[in-house]
Amino acid sequence: MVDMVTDASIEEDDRDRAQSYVVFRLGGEGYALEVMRVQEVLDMQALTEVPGGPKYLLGVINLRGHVVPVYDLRTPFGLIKEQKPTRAPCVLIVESGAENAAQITGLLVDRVSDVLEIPPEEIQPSPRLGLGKATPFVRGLIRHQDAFLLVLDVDRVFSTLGSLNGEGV
Amino acid sequence: MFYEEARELLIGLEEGLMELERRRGDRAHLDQTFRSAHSLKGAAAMVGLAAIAEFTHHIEAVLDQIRSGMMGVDAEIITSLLEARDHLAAMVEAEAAHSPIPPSTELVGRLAGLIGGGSAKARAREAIPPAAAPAPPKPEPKSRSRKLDAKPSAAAAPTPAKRKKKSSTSEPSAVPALTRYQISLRPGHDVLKRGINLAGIFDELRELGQTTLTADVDSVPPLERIDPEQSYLVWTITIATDASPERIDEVFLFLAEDSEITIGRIEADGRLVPIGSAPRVEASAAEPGPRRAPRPSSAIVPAVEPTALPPAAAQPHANGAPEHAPARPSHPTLARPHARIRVDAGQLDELVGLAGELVVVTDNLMGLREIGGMDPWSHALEALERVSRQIRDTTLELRMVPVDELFSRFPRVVRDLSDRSGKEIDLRIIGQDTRLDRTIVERLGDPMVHLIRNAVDHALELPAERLAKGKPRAGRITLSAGHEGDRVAIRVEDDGRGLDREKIVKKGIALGMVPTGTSPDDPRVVSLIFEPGFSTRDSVSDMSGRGVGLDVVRDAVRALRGGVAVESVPGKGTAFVFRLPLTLALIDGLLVETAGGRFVVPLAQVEECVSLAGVRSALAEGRPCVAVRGELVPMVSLRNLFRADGPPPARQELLLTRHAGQRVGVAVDRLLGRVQAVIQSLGEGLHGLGRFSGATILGDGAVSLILDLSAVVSESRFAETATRSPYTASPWAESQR
Repeated sequence: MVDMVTDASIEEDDRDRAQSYVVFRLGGEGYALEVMRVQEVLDMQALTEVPGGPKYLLGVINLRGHVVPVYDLRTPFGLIKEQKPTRAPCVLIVESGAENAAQITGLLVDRVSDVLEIPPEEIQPSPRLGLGKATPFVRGLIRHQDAFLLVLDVDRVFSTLGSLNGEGV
Repeated sequence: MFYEEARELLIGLEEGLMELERRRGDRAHLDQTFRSAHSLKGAAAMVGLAAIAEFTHHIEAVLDQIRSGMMGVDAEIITSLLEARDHLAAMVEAEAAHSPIPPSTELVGRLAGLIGGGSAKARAREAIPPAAAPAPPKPEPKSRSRKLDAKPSAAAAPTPAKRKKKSSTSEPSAVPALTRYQISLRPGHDVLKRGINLAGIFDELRELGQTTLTADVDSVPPLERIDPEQSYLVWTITIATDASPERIDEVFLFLAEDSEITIGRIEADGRLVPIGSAPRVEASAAEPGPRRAPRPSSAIVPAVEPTALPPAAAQPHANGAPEHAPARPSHPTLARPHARIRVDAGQLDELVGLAGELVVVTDNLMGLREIGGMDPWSHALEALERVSRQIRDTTLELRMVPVDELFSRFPRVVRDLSDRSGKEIDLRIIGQDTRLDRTIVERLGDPMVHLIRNAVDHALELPAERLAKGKPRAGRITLSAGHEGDRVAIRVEDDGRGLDREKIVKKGIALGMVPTGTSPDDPRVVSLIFEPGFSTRDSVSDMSGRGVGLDVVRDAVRALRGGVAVESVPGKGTAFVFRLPLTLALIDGLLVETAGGRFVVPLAQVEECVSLAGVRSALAEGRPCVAVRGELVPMVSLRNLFRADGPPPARQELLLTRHAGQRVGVAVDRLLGRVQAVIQSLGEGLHGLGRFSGATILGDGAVSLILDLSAVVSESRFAETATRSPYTASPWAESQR
C-alpha cells in the first residue's frame, strides 16, 4: 500500500503553479489524475461481487470497515482487458461527490507508475474526437516521455456512471 | 445558534399554550410558557431581529395579562395565541432562509384586542371564585401529578404574600407596594464578545421600575492591560418595583452563564436580605461544585430539564412539555440523574460506525485465536470482545430518542382538526417514553399525521351520530407506543366506524383489483386499502373507510424496515399498528449462500425456513410453486435472479416471506447461520439496485450484501400477478397478532 497523501500546506502553495498527478496505466493507455483526489492506492484484494449490478461495477471491498464500490473503467472507456496481466492490478481510492457529501470509490487500474508535478501550461486541451469512448472523460493531454497522458475528469466519470446506473446490466 | 434556540423555544411555547387551557391555575406552567415567549423575545432582540422581537412581545403581553390574573383563559384566546405562535415560527424560518416576512397585522390587532377586551371578560369572571369557574377542569384521567405547584422553593419565592396577591384574581386593581431590591452584577469578561448588550438589559430593568445604576471601576486594569473587548465593570443597581424577584431575575437571563449576579431585597430598616436570586446554577443539579461556578459556554450545552417533578412522577405526562423547555429552569430543583448534551448527528453516526468496526476487528482477532490456539491471548481477547460490544451497544443507544419527540406534536394537530371538523376529540397518549431510533422517530411524523387525519375525517362520527349509537360524545383517538419482543409497536387507534368491508370490496371490484363475483378474505380486504390508487379522489367523500393514500403510509414504514397491520371492528373502531425495529443501524440477519456469494437476509423478513428437498414442486398458473404443508406457495429462485451458472445444489433452502399479504418462498443454496450486522449504505452509485438494501462486514472481513426479500420478490415480476391471484388461503398473519 502506497500512501499518497502529501502535505496539505505545500499543496496549498503550489496550487496555482503546478499540480501533482498520479500516473497510471489502464488498458494500454496512460492516464493522469490529480493527486488531491486520490486518497490511497491499494493492491487488489478480496472483492464481493454485486449480482445484478452494472457491468462497470466490479464489486465492493472492505476498506478498513467501510464498504467501498470498485469500478472497472475499461468497460465504459471501451478498452480491452489485458489477457495475461503481468502483475496484480491496483485500486485507486478516489473521493467523489460534492464537498460535504464526499463519497469514496475505488477505481481498478493496471498499475500506478509515477507521481508527476505538472504546471498548468503544459496541459493541452483534449481533442474533441479521437480518443474513442473515453473522449468525454478526458480533460486534457500531457506530453510525457514521447507519449500522451490523458488527464481524467473523475467527476465526469462518476456523474455519467451514476446516470447510467439505473439501466443496470 | 439563534435559530436553534428559537425553534426550541417555539416548541416550548406551543406545548405550553396547548396545555394552558387544561392546566388553568397551574402557576408554574403559566410561568414557564411565559418564559418561552420572553426568552424568545430577548434572543431575537439580541441578534437584532427587531420584527420578531416586536411580534413576540405581543404574545408575551397577552401571557403576562393572564399571568397577572387580569385575563382568563378560554379556547378563543388560546387559538389566537397558537395562530400567533405559528406566524412567529414562520417568521423565524423565513428569517433563517434569508427572506424575512413581516409580522401579521391582523394577528397583532387581535392580540392587542385580547388585552383590551380580555380584561373585561376577566372582570366578569372575577365575581366567581376560581373553584366555580365556568368550565371546571375535567377530572384528569391519568397520573397528571404535575398539579403540585412547581415552584416549591422558598428561596425563589421569598415574598409569599406578594406572590399571592399577584396570582389571585380577587383584587387585581389594588396597587401593590413597591419593593426595593439591590442587584450586584459582575458580567463575565467576555459578555461583550458574546454580543450581549448590557444597555438593553438595563433598559429592561427600567421598564420594571425606577432604577439607579452605579458602575464600580475598581476592577478595571491599567490602560496598557485593558482588552477593549472585555468587560471589567461591576454594576450596582437599585430598583423599586412591584415585580417579583423572579421577574427581575429573568432580565438577566442571557447573562446567567458566566456572570455573578446577586439580588437582595432592601428592607424598611435598610438591611439587605439576599434572595436566592439566580437559582440557575443550582438548577443544573447534575453539576455539583461551587455555587457560582461559571458554566461552560461551549457548543455543548448542558440542557438541564426543568425538574419540578419528583423523579417518580416525572414520567408519563401527556404532553411531555419539559423535553424541549429552555435550559433555564428558574426553580431550584430536585436532582435529575442525567444531564443531557446535544451532539452532532453526523458525528454520532460516525461513532456508531466505528463501534461496529471495533466489533468486527475483535471478531477477527477471536478467529485468529482459534487458528493459532494462543492461550495467553484468550483472556485479553475476551475482554476486548466484551468491551467493544458494550461500546457498540451504548453508541447505538445514543441514536435512540423517546417517541415523545414525535407524539408531542399531535395534541396540536388534533386540536386543529377538531376545530375544523366540528368533531369532539379526546386524544390519549400512552407510552411516550418508549425509545426508538431517531431516524424512525423523524420519519414517522407524516405517516402518523396521515392516519390521524384519516381517523378524524373518515372514522370518527359527529357528536350527534355518536350519541345516537350510544357512544360517548367525544371521539377518542389513542396513540400508544410499546415494546413487542424486539420490535416497537406504535398504534393509532380510534373508536369510530371501523372499516366498511362491503364498500371496500365494491371499490376493489370497480378498480379491477378484486375479480368480479369473488369474496376476498379479510386479509385481502385489508391489503386492498394499502394498494396504490385504491382510493381515488372522487371516492373520498363517500367512503366511510379510509384508503386515502395509505400506500404512502405503508411505503414509509417499510422504508424503515417495519410493517403496518390493521385491526378493525365494524362500529367499534380501527387500529393501525406500526411494528418497527428498535434501531436502523443494526439488524438481526440470516446469513445465506447462493451461487458462491454470501448474503444477509433481515430476520424480520423471514417467517420460516424449510428445506426444498422435502417439498413437492408443482406448477400453478405457469409460475414455479412449491407445496409447503399442503399450501401452494409461489417461489422465486435467487440463482435465477442472479443469473448464476451451473446447476443448483441437490438440496436448497426456502425462505418463506410475505409479500402483499401472501406467502412467497425465496430459494437459496445454503443457510449459514444467524448474524448481527451493522448496516452500511451501499452509496449513491448503487441506489438503483433495490434488491440490496445495504452491506455489512462479516467477521472474516469480507463484505456481504444485505438482501431485501420484498424487493427481490417484486423484481421477479411475479408480484404483480400474485396480488390478483384468487388463492390467499392463509390468514394475514400480521392482523392476527
